[in-house]
Amino acid sequence: MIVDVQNLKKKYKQQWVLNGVDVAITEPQIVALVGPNGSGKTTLLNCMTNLLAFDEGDVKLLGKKHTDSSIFYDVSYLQDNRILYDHLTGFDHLKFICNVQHIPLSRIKDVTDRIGMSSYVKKRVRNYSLGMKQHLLLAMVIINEPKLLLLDEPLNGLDPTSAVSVRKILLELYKEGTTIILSSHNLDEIDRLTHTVYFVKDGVLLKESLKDVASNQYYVSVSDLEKAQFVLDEASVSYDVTETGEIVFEDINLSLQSFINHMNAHNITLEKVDNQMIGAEKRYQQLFKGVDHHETVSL
Amino acid sequence: MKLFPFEFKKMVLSRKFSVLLLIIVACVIALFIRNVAFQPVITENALKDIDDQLQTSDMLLRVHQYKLEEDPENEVEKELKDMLLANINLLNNIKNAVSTDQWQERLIQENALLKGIATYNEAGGEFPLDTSEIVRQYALNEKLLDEHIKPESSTYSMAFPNFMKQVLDFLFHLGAIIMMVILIGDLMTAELEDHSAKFLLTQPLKRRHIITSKFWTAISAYITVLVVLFLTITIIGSIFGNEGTFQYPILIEKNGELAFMTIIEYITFGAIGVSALMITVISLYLFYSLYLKQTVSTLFALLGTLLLGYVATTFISWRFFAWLNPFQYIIPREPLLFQNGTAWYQGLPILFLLSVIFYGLAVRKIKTLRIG
Repeated sequence: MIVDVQNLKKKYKQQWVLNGVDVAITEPQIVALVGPNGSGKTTLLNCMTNLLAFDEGDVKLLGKKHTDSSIFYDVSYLQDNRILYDHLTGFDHLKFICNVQHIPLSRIKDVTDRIGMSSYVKKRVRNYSLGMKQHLLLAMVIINEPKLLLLDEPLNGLDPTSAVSVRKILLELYKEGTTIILSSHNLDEIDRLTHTVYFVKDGVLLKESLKDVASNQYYVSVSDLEKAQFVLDEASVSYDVTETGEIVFEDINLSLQSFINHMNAHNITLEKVDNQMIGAEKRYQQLFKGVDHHETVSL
Repeated sequence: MKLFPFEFKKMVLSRKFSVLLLIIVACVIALFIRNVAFQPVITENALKDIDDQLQTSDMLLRVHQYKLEEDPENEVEKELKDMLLANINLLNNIKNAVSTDQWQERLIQENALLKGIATYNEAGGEFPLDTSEIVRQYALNEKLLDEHIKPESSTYSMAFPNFMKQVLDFLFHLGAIIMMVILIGDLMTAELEDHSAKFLLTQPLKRRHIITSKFWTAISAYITVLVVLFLTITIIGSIFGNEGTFQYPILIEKNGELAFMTIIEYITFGAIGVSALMITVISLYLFYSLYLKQTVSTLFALLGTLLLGYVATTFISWRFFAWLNPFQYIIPREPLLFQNGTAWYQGLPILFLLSVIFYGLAVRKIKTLRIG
């Protein structure tokens, strides 16, 4: 068992932040934790890594109790950049981890090259930008080639190019056999990384496979919009029309092939077809409709 | 031991540490420059003291003459007047010797004067010099003459050993505590406040090793500061100062009698006492920081404990209490200079014991420490 969390309960100021959380991961995969600010995502990760005490429940990572510090030879936890020491260099941080975890120092070059931070790894952290700090944090958690990687908002502060490279590294690690649990607000990124999502709602986790809830949204330009609308109305298909005259529908209501068949039957030509995946975001909106993302429990 | 080099590097590369060292070096240099600049003042002050004593003697002489005019046969007044005239004569001799290098002659004259004043006061005179002060100055002068050691100014000395004592007296007068508070004030609490401690807590390290490394880092930083301090004093004192001697006598009270301690003993014993206190302060700081988790409240608790402890224990005169009083080295001059029924080292075992207790409590606490 890679992750075994049973009935985890954590109370904060008389309010249950986590109220019976169960997580069981038996084989390497990428899992996302999704929920509004203060829903308990970071609290769950902190409880799992023994940074926070919890009121009830049991946590085992890679078969060991979470209180056993030796788990960190194989478990890495990417936290926010406040954990960095401003007056030390990135190299100092990485060297320390190598020393503590008996990793050859040559690995520092491998990791920094892979992440693309070799040019500034020997500069003091106080001179780093937000993105550079995020790169260093990533280097610090992958340098030991962990079996389990916990990431708290790993894409914070990254520009789109860096986000793509980080996503690529995470996917490579996953392919190499690392289990990744990440919490993120970036639902688009989650869609690109994983289909296994734990939505954190009311202190419990709702496991979803995005394959079950994901859909494609199509944006289609046709030769005769009025006629196409008439055809779709006749077929009782749910759709919208954008201001620019594109027909918008989701494949859970109508497959693209059915749409094409309808249009062909009435000699309507399809001029342009775009599609967009909607998965985590859609489910998120369904689950947290009306939840104020900023007015939540402070941890 | 893997954590200690990292912790120590964190400490010595911090801006605070560099600034502290620079301030210490600057203060030592400034003190030495002050001593050089005030060299003429030593003679001026000595002459002024003699003039004051001459003025006092003149006034007393007029009183004796007035009384003798009223009662010419008063033998006591006659005797007092003769003694005073002899003292005035000695004062004039000393005044002439002040500006010369004849320090031995001057000390002999000074002791003759002190003896004269004591005799005068015993005979009924009222020269305003306390007997205990006379005895202390006389004993010190005798010791200097016996050891052939040139007397040094206690405030503006340029002799290397005396200058070192002068600097270390600042350290012994709360300087070490202030320095330690600056050094370790945020050693643990800052990492708890900004959550950087989470980095260490998510490494395969035993939590007690975090406390151990912080403890040794604080001690190493203290030693580093001491080394820099001693080096600065040595370089400045030996290059620009006078040779002097570490055998220079310091007057102390031992079991109700006057005794002497050399400067080297004073520095060594003082440094041992202060350092023992610093070890306890470090342990106490770690203990408080893990419970309070905030820099301000931790420092408040630490300094409050030291202050209250010192004030409370000052009122206890029970001699055996010297074995139980960990606060006596807050100002270690006291246990060093006044060893009446006590010895300077008696507070060391209790400090060692308290260090072990607070360190143990801190280790115990960090095992259950949680950072949200």
